[in-house]
Amino acid sequence: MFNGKEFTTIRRSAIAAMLLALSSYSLLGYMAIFSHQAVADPEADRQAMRTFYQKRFPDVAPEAHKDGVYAFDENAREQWLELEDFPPYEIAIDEGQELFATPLADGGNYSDCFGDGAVKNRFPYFDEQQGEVITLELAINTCRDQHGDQPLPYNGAEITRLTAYIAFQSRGQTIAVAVANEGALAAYNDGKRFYASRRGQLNFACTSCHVQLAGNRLRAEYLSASLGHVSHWPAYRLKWQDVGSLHQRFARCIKQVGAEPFPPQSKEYRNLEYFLTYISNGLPLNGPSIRK
Amino acid sequence: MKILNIFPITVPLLAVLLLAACTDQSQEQSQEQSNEQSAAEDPALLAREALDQAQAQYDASRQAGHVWARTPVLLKSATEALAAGDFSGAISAADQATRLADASLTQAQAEQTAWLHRFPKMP
Repeated sequence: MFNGKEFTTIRRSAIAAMLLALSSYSLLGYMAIFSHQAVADPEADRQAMRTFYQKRFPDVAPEAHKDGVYAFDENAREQWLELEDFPPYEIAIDEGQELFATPLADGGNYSDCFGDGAVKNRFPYFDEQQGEVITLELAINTCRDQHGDQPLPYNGAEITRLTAYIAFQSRGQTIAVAVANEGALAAYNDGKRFYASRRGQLNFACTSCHVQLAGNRLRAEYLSASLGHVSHWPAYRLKWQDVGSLHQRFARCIKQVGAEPFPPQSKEYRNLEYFLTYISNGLPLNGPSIRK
Repeated sequence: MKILNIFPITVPLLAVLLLAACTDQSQEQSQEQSNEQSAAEDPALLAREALDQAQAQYDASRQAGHVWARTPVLLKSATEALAAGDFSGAISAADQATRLADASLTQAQAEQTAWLHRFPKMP
């Protein structure tokens, strides 16, 4: 029917057509996956994370992750509970309470902005007018500014004591962050990207330890789940011998992987906090706390 | 007619100008070559060049939000070595800083899409 030359030509054309069809199919498939992942759906992310950790820690209820590694490391939990009998962060709460009531430059005080201080579950939120994520620390400095006072340094003791008091007043509130508009979604996605991006000379992402390796040991320590990472701050770290902020903890993590940390309250960290807080929606606030 | 009258003067004049320009250009070229040669041999200039390159790569990695902690430390060492007249030390530290900044930029480039695959997905 066909001579050898015609047969070769037909065979080549058929192979080319098959290859083209296959590559188009792969490309379409890749585009579908990519577009699905690129368009952030915060609630789908949160549910996926909860499901993932439920499988990883079948004996731990999602809400129990508010206690970090103490949710699944029995020995550490016992030590922690003993420390909680006389918590080392108590002094910070007392000092924070005093600062909270201290008059600012115009005679007003923080209660003009934060009532009785039980406001932690309102933060962080995305401010559409300012086009950025507002954290509790940022709001404290805005309050000071409104009362004619100088802003506090974000890595200083005074602001951490104030947030310790506010966290204490807010204990038991449920985390309920909203991602309600395009700007908020962009900030959420930015925080999500930061959390999953490898950085530093050790080439680690936050997800390397707290998603992929969560529940495993890194030297003597268990790696905690991302759920509940924001619920208990500020925290007294035994390593610091002081109460420190969530952003100080971010900076330590970034430094540990060999990257240069960002300043506290930088846009990068605020968006990261926003993402992590959304992921922890539904968990109770239980700060201040104690961590190693 | 007038053109014909000035022709005998114009031609030699243009020739002289052309010759002068060529001589000047060749002098400039040889001056540049000599400068380049002296730069290639001057360790201070080489160190300065290495430091500038390291600084530029560091700035790029900062812009990308992927600075590695060791890079600014090496940049500082290179700057201090240059100020102290330790040119080989400055070049060595600056080259290391450049290599680290290059690697961090490669990381930043790779992470533009790689991060998407690091989250659990709903089954």
